[in-house]
Amino acid sequence: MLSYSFDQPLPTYALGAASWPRALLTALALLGLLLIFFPQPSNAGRTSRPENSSDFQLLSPGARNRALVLLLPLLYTWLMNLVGFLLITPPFLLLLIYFFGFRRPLALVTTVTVFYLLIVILFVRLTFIPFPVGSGEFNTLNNQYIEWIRTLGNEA
Amino acid sequence: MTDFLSGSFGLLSDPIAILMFVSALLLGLVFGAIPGLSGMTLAAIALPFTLHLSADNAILFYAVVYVAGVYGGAVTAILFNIPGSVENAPTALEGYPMTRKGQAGHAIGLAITSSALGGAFSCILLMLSGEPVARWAVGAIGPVEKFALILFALSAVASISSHSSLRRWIALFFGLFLAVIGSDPVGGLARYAFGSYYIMSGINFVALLLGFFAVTEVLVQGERMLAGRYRPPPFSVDFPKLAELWRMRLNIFRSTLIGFFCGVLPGVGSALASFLSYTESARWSNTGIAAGEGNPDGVVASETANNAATAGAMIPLLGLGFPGGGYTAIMLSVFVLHGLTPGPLVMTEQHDLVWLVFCGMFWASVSIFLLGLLEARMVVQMVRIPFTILGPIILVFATIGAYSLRNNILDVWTLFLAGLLGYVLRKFGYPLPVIIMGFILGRLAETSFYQTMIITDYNPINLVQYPLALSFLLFAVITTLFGLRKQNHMVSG
Repeated sequence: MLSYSFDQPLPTYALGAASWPRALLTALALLGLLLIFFPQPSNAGRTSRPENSSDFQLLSPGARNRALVLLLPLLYTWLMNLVGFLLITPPFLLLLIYFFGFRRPLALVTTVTVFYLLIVILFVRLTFIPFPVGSGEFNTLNNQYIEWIRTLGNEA
Repeated sequence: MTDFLSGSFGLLSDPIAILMFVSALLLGLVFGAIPGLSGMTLAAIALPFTLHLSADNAILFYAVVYVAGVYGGAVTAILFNIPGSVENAPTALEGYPMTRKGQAGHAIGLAITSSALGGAFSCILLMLSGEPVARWAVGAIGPVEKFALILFALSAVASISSHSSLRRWIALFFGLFLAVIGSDPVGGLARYAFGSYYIMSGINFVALLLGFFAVTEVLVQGERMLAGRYRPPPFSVDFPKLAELWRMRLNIFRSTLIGFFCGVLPGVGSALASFLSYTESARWSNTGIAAGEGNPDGVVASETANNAATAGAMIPLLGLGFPGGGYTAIMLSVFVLHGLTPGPLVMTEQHDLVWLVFCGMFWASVSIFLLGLLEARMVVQMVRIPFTILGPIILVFATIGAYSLRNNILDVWTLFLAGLLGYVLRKFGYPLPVIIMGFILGRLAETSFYQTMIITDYNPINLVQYPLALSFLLFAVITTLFGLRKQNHMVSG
């Protein structure tokens, strides 16, 4: 049960590949049942404290912005594969900083530009991290852009 | 003593060695402190360049980067809840809450001092013990003992004071279960991989760590900000006093021993060292501050132990030629590139080289103290950056950190999905650090469990032949009972 295709005998190990996950799942199920029948206060330390219930009301006023903040990183990851890291990061930063409540346009653009340049110099120019370059036209564009960054200043 | 003096003289009399020492120290601190980079990244980048150096200088460079890189990761863990690497995770557990309370300078000061002390003390232990300890560790600590030690560490993690020990245990087992995903360590069968080659190689622990720590924190703080309930942390540069360090002497001593011991064990290393000493410090702390609420004892324990482990890791590497982890494996390749084979003979035939490494690590630990204090006064200023800007920047750094390890976009998915999962779990009171600990030790636990089963012929009674393992198991039982008793007191109190 709950082991799909890996519940096969192993020649060198009598307990097989499924015994360990099964033991863990059984323990989890038992602990879950214990938690249902013997509810415990959950306000532990700071890191494990459940947030105030008012923090968790996604239908409350401002809920749209909160939902966007939660969904934006997923959208960023999806677009990164499509558009490429270097092209999608500046709009992601601009949007997220804006949604977080920063409303000074000039300071917003300056901050994102400075940080973006830092990333480009550190991770593209100096440490050569092969960031996702997107697909289709974006792929060509990103590759040309990266090549330009890496050759910039080398012509002389 | 003579060896130490001659090793130090060898270091100071050669201008190239001094240059290697200083550059390794500075680069190690910088690479360790930037999320997405680490001492390992630097080690990998620098590998081709070491061919142009003498063996002494190349190995000195790597030894110093190792020490400096481990400390560097503490800075981002304390300031932004982004551990530079796994061994800095416990530092974030207490360091970041200290930053939120306006004690960033204090936390960084403690991290610097304890890193320097842990590194220096363990170097002294390394110089005094060397090969005999390596022989003892390899002879006395087998899979059975390792499994028992891991059980002890897991029981310690699940038993730190909490109002809900059930949630802690659930979190621990959940973390252990996450480590199962991938392929089994015995036959390599795919488990819960659903036909994906990416999942077959297991969940990337750096992505999971950054997701649970950095992304979850940004989401929670971002939500508070949108609800108008975010309060920026007060700013202060308040470094620890000598009296405070003196009060922590037992903590430093205990964490040095734990760190050194764990460092010696191949495959266990500094992650277990920092978590184990962190949980022990939480148990013995008398500051009156609960675990996870910004207890300075936790920062000191974690940073002392992970730096102490770096010296401990040199023992199996130099004495027996066994690399204990990823970084020491790269160091082993530096030896091989220069035509040297680490092992018992290197201790006698390359005596000067070995002492140059020992002295380099010792002086690197001392230098961390001086350089770190200068660095800390500058980096704590970053707390002044408004969270509206800092939060998104942290997310981008976390993305780079998760991606750059394997250059795989799926690690970025893991990062953000873990962040969202962590956000929900945190809402319901499940401690994320316990999940991480279960995940990190899970694979090691399963591997040593199956080895133990085979060695003991699937009969637990045969464990009586392993007194050291039995002692660890006894400690595990006592720790669990102690934790449950404390829990009952807290609930009834």
